[in-house]
Amino acid sequence: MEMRGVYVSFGPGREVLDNVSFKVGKGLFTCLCGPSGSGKSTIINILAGYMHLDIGECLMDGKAVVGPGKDRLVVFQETALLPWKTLWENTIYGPMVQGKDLMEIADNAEYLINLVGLTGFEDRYPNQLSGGMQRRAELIRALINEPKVLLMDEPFRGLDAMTREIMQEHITKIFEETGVSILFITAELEEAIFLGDKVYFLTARPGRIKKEMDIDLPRPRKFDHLASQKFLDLQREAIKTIYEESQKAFSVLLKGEQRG
Amino acid sequence: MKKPSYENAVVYRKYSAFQRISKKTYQGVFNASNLRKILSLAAAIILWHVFSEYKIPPLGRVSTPYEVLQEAIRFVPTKTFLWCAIFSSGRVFVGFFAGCVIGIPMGLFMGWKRHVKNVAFPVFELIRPIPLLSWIPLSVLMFPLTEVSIVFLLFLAAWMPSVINTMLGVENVPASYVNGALSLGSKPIDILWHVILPGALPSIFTGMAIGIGFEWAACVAAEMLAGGFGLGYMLWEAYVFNVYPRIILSMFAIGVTGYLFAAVVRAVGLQMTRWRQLY
Repeated sequence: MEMRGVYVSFGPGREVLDNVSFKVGKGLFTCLCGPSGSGKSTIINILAGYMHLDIGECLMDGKAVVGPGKDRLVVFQETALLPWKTLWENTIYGPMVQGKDLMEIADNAEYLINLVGLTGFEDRYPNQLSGGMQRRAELIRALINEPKVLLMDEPFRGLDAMTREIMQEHITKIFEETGVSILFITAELEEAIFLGDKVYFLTARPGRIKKEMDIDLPRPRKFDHLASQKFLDLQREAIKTIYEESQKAFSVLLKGEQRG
Repeated sequence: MKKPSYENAVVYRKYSAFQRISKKTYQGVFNASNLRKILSLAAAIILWHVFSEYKIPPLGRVSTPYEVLQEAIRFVPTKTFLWCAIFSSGRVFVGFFAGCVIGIPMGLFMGWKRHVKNVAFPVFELIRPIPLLSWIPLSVLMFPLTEVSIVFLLFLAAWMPSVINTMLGVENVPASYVNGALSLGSKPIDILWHVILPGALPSIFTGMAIGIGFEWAACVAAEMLAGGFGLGYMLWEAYVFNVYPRIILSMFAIGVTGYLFAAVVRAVGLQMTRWRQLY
């Protein structure tokens, strides 16, 4: 997937994205890092096809994106699992409405549920599952459709540190096994560097791509890589980049408070 | 502070399951909360009796509880009473059914498509504040048959809350659910059936429960005026023919039937939205 020269504004003085161009490489884990309010969710909305683009291009395999589709699936921040369906029904929803064969769907669904460790919870409703489990359920709901690109909008936000680590492990495992292209939006630097092959840094509003960083840590990623010298170097670089932007974003907030 | 002793624990285990369950049931029934509830009911009835027996205003000419009870024993088993109840219930059911069958799809469309809402909503919002009972003269003019005019009134009573609650229910379905379902390749009919309808179902049932309440109020009023059979007519007739205990009896009968209908609607609603009670 690719975005070229995208400019989005919700009105005078409310520019959200300014000349944003980046690529989600095929088979790569791309991370997008930026302070809050820098238009990250807008990027996801455009890539997924929920929002119409006026200036700039958004391409998928060279063709323009016009609307939602099952080749680009989204995992949201707040859960979008349908609360009136059980875990099983939610998982098989995609293939079911596409009219696939039920036996095949059942096999795939079982495999994925085992993969993320949710066996035995198929008959639970989403509000009976913990936060981490809901995220995993959303993951497999997207994965069962074998999308080309997985768009994840701060999916681990609000999870406690231990659950977050487990989820990072899971997503790395899934990425390394299925080879799906992932665009992962996060505000956590370490997460972006640990998970990604390539990290883009966004500025504060209006969002621009400030820096592009290639992560050359070896795959499969393990937690001891977090202590390696390379990781620390990358982290230092990233902190330098993002620090100024966070300051800018914060001062905008303060100014806003003073005014109103 | 008493030292925790293991003897007590051992003694508890010596009770059989049956004994423990009966002890719990006993405590569940004969406890302070229930005692207060029963005492307050008894106090209300005693107050009623005292006021009506000794002609204290405003209950000076109102029948005493004992008279109502006698009338009940005499009148409830009769065929007239049964027919009245059945007739009123039948009317309410028909009106409710018509109101919901027309109102719910209409509300669904209005919530789902903005254009439909822009067309239908202004007229609807003009009609809605008009009190139901003021529709009676118009209803009688429009439908020469008494029965149809009453059922029209009942239809209106159920229709208006259905439309508005369904519409609000649809509008309250979070956009992320719809977006997620669209991405997964749903066609519009799938979105309607799997996302919008279940999401709006709690509001739909709220609308139905409200509608039932309005229904009964409208039914009683319409029957009092238009006559024929029915619990409302029975109430009015009791007043006109000076069978005063029957007035209160009719009121209780209307209350009980109304409660039963509403309870059924609520129970069906709870059954169909099980996912909200789980945690």
